[in-house]
Amino acid sequence: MGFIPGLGGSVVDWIAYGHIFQTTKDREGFGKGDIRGVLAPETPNNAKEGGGLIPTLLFGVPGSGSMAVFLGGLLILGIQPGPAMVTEQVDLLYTAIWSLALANVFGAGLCIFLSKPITRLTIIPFAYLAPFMILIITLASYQASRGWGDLIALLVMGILGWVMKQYGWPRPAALIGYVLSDNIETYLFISVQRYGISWMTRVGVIILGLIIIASLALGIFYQTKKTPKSRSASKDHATQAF
Amino acid sequence: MQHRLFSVRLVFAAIMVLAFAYGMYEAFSYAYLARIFPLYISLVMFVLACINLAQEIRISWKRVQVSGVGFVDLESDWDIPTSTVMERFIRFLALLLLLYASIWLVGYSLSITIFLVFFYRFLTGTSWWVAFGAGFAGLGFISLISKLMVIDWPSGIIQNWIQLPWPLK
Repeated sequence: MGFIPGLGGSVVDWIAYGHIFQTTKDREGFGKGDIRGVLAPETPNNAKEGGGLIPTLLFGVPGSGSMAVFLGGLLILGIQPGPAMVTEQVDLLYTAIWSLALANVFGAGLCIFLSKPITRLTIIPFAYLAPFMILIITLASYQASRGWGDLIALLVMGILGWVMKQYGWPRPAALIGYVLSDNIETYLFISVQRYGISWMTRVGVIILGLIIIASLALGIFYQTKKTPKSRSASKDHATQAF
Repeated sequence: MQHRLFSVRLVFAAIMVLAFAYGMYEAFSYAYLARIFPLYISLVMFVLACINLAQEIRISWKRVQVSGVGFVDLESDWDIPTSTVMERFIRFLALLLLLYASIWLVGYSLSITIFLVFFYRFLTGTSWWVAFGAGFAGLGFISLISKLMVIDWPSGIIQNWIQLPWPLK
């Protein structure tokens, strides 16, 4: 999932997390420190940089935020990404590939050695971390477009996220939709302009549409199961909240 | 309480149906090219919202248990009583609103420094020395980021009246 270019970290992390959650029988530990909930999203998260290199180096289209920075660096050095990378600048291409591979190996080694002190972060009381978290969150949101609108959007989206959490509305779906909306708008527009309404009759679209319908139908089929007797004793989180 | 949860979910699902129905209605008033995205998205989302509404009606009517991948974002405060969760939320929201009001008044750099000092002193319960240390650490951090990323933090009303030195200006 991670190496597919264009999806981005926010999307693949949640898809992987959703998948592990869906396919695991004992889900009680999720959200409370179960290591599988960390391993599942981190695996595609590490794989996405390799996938992001493909459109960045071959087409000059960055596949993620970090690849946009990498592309900017290449252009500053006077290197023009494009199909010529695989014919005329193979040495540079392999340097980029091996750098990424070695960075992952060194990163993994560092994480193994530093895992103990890093895990100690989790025992710091929330009251010490919260103010600095607020600082970093406000700072990160403000630098997006550097206006008051960013801070207001942060507050509104934060409240919306809290309400969604309390009433059991899935936030990952909203997040993924929000992240992908730009791409959907661009490519829907291009498809309709190029093919009109007949874009929906193309083979690829039909196959993808059928997969989406099947996953939706299966989701609805398995989502609700009739257990009125066990409801009072249910450990279901949605019913425990209120 | 369970009834309240389901009725709120039902109202939300109904609002979604109405919102996307309005999206379709509104899209028809646009020119052809401008209509493409809102119409297609509203149409798909309207169908999905109707399915969701039907599910919510079924859940609240037949009292079935909810489960599934929709609940992947579980967090530990599901176990905490509602009153505590609400109390924490209101306290946290009030803090943020206070921070925003102070940004509007004295600018980001100054307000976040004061925020850190008062948070550490009165909510965390540290000594004034530690609180001031945290405040200056925060100010140092945002000054560094400001310098490295060439960012001017939002200024407040006070900056219009008084000329403050960098990074407080």
